[in-house]
Amino acid sequence: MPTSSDIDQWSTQLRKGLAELCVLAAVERLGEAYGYQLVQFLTEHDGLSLTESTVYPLLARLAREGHLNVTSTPSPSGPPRRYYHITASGRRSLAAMSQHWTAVAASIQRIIGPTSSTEK
Amino acid sequence: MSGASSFDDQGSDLIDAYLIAVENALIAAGAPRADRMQVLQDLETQITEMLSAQPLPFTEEAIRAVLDKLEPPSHFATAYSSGSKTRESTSPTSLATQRSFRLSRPDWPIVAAVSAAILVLSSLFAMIAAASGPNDFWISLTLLSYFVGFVSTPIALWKAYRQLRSDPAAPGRDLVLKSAIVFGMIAPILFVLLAAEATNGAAPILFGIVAFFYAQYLLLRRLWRYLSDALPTPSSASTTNSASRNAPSSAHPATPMPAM
Repeated sequence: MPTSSDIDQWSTQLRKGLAELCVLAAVERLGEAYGYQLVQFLTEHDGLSLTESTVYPLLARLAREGHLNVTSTPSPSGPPRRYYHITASGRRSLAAMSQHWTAVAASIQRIIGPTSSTEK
Repeated sequence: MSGASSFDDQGSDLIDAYLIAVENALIAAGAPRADRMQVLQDLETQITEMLSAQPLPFTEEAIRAVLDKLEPPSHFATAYSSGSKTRESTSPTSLATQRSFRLSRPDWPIVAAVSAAILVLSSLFAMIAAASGPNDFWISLTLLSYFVGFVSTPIALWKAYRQLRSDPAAPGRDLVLKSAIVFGMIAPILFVLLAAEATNGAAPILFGIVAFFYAQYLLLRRLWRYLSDALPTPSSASTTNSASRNAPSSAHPATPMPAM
């Protein structure tokens, strides 16, 4: 029987696999957001638990690959804020991943059924 | 840290120590410099915003409380490495490119392992040559396999090292480690045996003298390092505490912090 640690590990791997989709979708939804704003937005959603150690390196890589644009805006206190905007390339990737996720989620839901076997 | 108008030196040191630890973790994970700078800037913004919720002036406890809410620096390296691995395995746009790239680039850990295996074979051939008496075939095979293994293994190990450094998610780490150990064990022994055979026994004496002085050098260097670490210097007391970011928040510094 899987332990809670096994489930946690599986859950962590699942979240990391979906991190890119979630980050792109969050930027698209917010229109324009800086790093901490995105972390706070993603943290509000139960089950994701995407922390800054996952989000910031991902943002940097997505920006490097051209899926996100970055603009620096002076902040009244502290360092300039780096605002992220999704690009056309990012939108295409997001659309492809969203389509794939929708299909996968629907298939998994069909396999699992309306109630899980443990509830029967 | 930029824009830190309400930090004292100790608080600024704590934040700098954390950011440096994150950068070092990203460097170890092979993150490009541009990525590292972006991550650090985003982190700095987050720290500033989290601190802005604290009352002024920012005490050391308040800064530690904020830093304790952040992920440990090592998590940034793990996330970066696993993020790269995830990207390669799930991106629909880059798989074909990666596949063709990998086909044209040799898998150096495997090459290193094969070269090290050739060295093992050469020692086997040497034993057969010694047991079977003067036999040109086995002697030639021993020399050939030894030459190939002795030359190709360090080259392959170096290439594998660079390959793994540039791509932390690539497999083959264990192969590289084991190949290095095999090369380090077998190559010198065979070299000494062959040199002894060629010089009628004079070479091992020379190697023994060199090895003695090298062992002495290693011993002295170890002794120097031990004494350097064990004997405190006056300038190290003020920097030790501010650099100890990774210690748990409940841990107390080994030495009391100097008054500013």
